[in-house]
Amino acid sequence: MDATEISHLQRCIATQRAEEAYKKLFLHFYTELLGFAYGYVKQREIAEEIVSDVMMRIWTMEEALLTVNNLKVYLFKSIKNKAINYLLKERNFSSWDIEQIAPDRIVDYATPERSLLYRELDDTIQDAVRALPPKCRMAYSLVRQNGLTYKEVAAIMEISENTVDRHLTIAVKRLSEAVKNYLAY
Amino acid sequence: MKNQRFVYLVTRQLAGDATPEERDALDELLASDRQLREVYILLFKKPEKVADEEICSHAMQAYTAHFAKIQLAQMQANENGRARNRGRRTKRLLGWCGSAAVVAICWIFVRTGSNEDASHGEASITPTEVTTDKGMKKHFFLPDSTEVWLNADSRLVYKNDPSVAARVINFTGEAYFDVAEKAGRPFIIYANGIQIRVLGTSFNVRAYPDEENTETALLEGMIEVTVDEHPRNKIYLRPGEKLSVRNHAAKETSPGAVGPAAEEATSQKLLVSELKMDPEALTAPETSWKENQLVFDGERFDKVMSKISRWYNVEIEVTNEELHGQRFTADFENKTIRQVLDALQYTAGFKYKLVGDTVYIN
Repeated sequence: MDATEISHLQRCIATQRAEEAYKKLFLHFYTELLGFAYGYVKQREIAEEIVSDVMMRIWTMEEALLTVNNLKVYLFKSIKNKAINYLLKERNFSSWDIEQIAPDRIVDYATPERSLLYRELDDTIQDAVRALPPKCRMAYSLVRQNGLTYKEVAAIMEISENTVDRHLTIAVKRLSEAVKNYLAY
Repeated sequence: MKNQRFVYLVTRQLAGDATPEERDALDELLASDRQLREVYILLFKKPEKVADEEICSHAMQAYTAHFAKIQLAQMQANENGRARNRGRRTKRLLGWCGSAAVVAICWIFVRTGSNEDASHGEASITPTEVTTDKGMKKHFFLPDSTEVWLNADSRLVYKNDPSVAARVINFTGEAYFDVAEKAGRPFIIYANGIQIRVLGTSFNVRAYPDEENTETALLEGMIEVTVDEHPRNKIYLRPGEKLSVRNHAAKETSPGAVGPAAEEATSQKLLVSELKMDPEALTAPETSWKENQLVFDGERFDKVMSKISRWYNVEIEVTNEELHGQRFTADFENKTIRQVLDALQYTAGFKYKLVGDTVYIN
């Protein structure tokens, strides 16, 4: 589903209250958003609640939904904000704790079978991913797991596109090294 | 430095702002450096276009519960609204008209949910078998659009089961696979006690149980091979490499071989060697059968006879013990069995007689 399709669904939901469109949107984003929420709160039920709350808002917003420019970014940001709120209030996380949050492992959206096929190699890659600094890891995950553009990543992480570029450069460099070393047995 | 260039070009690619020159430069770089190409394929390549989104059943369940929540919340809001401000326009959800409808709608959602499950179960999961007799070859496509060439005397079994992620093939004989890349669906082949796991590649597998070895030759891409007895010992093949695994039931063809040397020979069960490959045409002696060429590349007599037997559908009886040690290199295209045997008999120094379906070699 590309950006134009998403906009189309957005309009249907906002203006016609079309349940089919809403359902399509929900099913398209659900797994991704659940994973993203889980990355923060690390509890399945809480993650599910957060996603449900955010998606509920999409429905009850009605026409206000039309003012959202990039729905995908909006969804991710909403999840992130709710998740962080939860961590600050219910789990007493400090801001520093929040800064350190980053995905534990990345399922690459281009080669999801990599973890099934090449177990050892994938472990090496995941180790290298975990060795990346948290922000770097988060940026790389949003690009390679969620397929977001640099612009979208910048919006979600609230950093500049240049910073995203720097994060990705470090990630690409280190992961390439790790894989090259592994292959050169 | 090449690596820096690689990192730069890849990040441009990931950012989506690579200029056409940069895209070309990356393609060139990947074409010229095999190691970087492997790294790129494993880590950074672009995803395939997914035709239809597969709906995860968990997402479906979540939606059912979620939308029921919305209905209930709306119902509550409506009732409160009605209680507070009679006559004010109430918001209406599509298809909504009272509390009885909540139950009905939930039931419909649940019902359609299980209907979808039922239709999943109806998908054909009876295995499909493709076989070739001796003297026969087949060329066909699997349901996932993987292209297969099946050589003589071979048997391939697969199940078209959409509820299982892996695409599994059970197989004996010889086949050439051009595997269609499918995100999230590993392609796995079981043959003669080995397992081959594939990531979008072109390769040849020769797994006749009565031959000495099972061979896997990789032309493009990358594959992982494991031998059943040592599942943790993974062997990665790169393009231009060939893996040879000794079969269990294989007879020892060197007569009277005993002692430490013979034991060492039997213990060398795995061998990775280089293919003589033409990278442009993506061919090697091991895959030439696909183009209807019968090729022997320094192969021992027994293997040669085995190939001829399957190619022409004949039985071969050999009485000359001295022939076993000999090796043959030859190339035959569209030749009859007599022409092939005539050519070989001069180099090897044997005589043969073709009686019906049987060749007697002396």
